[in-house]
Amino acid sequence: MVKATAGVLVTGDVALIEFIRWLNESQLPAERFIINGSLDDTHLFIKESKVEFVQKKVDEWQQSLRFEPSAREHQ
Amino acid sequence: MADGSSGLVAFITSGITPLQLERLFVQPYAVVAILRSLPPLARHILLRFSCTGGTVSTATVSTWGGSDGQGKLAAALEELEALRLLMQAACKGQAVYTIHASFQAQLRHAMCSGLLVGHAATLPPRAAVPDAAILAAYARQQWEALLLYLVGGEGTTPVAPPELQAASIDIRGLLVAAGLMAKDERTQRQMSAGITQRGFQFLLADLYSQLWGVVRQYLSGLEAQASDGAGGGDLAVAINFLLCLGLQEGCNVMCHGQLGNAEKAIAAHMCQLGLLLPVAGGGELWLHPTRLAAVLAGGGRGGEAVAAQEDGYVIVESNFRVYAYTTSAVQVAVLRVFVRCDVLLPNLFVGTITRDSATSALGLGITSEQMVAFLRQHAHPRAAARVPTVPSVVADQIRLWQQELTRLQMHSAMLYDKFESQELYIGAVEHARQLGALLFRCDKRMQLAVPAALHGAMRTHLQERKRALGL
Repeated sequence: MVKATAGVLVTGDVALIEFIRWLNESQLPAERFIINGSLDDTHLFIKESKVEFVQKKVDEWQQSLRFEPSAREHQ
Repeated sequence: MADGSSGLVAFITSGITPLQLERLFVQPYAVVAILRSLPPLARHILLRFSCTGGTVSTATVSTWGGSDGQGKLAAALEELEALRLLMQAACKGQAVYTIHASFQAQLRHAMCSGLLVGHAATLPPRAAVPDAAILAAYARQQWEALLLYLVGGEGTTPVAPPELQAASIDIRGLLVAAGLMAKDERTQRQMSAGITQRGFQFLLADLYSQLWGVVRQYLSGLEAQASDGAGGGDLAVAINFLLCLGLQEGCNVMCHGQLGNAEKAIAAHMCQLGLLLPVAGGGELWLHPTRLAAVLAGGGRGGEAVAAQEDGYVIVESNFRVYAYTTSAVQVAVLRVFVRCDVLLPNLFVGTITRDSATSALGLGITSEQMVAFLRQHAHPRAAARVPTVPSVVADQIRLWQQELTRLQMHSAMLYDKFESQELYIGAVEHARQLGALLFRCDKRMQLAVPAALHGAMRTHLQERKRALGL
């Protein structure tokens, strides 16, 4: 019988997917969210319950890569 | 939307009923405008038809194109049929093409005797002719009042000049109906309306798109208002009147007293929007078309290019600084949508395009192309002289910021795995593609993903296929 799994398909570039995989590895085994047989370099299948968590972590990661010269803010 | 022809032709083909379309073919200016807006091949075909008796057999028509031009010829003929300019019929056992009779008559008249300036048989006295500066100032004042109302939600809408004694358009109702403002029910004292996402995109569009958007909404309102009998006539008259404003070259002043009743109402509304300026002189009221009327009838590029040079006020530097020489509150408000304001002087706006300002604008639904196009269109003449007008660093960075927002995409989906056979997998992929629902496929491991909503449809399909294949 064809097996059907419900979840959330995540699409992104290679670096982002790699980051999400690293995030998955760094979780405790009970809290891992990538459904088995993760798809390929630019796609992942994750559990629905963890969607906001992943989104939040990805936003934090992107924020940490940005640089705003603080001097300009105090003009 | 910036293309004049697509605005008018699209409105004619999709916005009005066939009965109104027939009435439009009697109006001379509409005929010429439609002719000008068609692509060259269709125009050529129509002109050939207008010189004949009106009916040409299909066989003759197909000889007009060479062997490799048949495809283009067929496409042009289809377009003309869709507009009801050409009709196929059978005459004496032969298939023929017939051109619309009144269209042909008007076209011949226009070609042979020119577009008669039916309205201005007399000219206003010299003293009553306003100079270009007054016309421009009036047009700007009325149009900016409308835009300022759109941005602010309070303040006064532009009003019709009192001497015309006609009811003015409900500007707020018009903007709400066009989807540019939405009723904001949070304020309890009055139902004020606030600007919407589409409203922001409207503000950043070029002048022609804005004008045409408002006028089109006005025409739809006319249609809805009047009952079916009179409605068609009003609409055709309105379209003709609007085209008449811009298409006449030279003597384009109209005498108010000589217009018909429907035209008088439309003229009053156009004055309210800033397309016409009423000036009293010699005992009569004369209506002078402004630059806005020329832009509307000429279609995007004609009037725009000339106007943009004089009106440009924005300088963008490669360090993301924006300088705008303007005193208008509307222009400052529009810039503040995506530029962070650093300094605001009486005649100068200084700002910086930062990641925050750009991403907040992107969050409102404005695209990076719209932002860059806005900066390019309103470029100061000195900045416009250099190539590229907007530094490529700035344009590219705004595009990159937009891409960043869509870096991660999530879809609620079902993954299908462990297909019993290759054929079942291929069939399922085809079915998903037909439904337009294929999210992911991997041929090596035979895995397929579709949106969760379509799980039911896929399951029934798979069950049927399995039964058919005997698995």
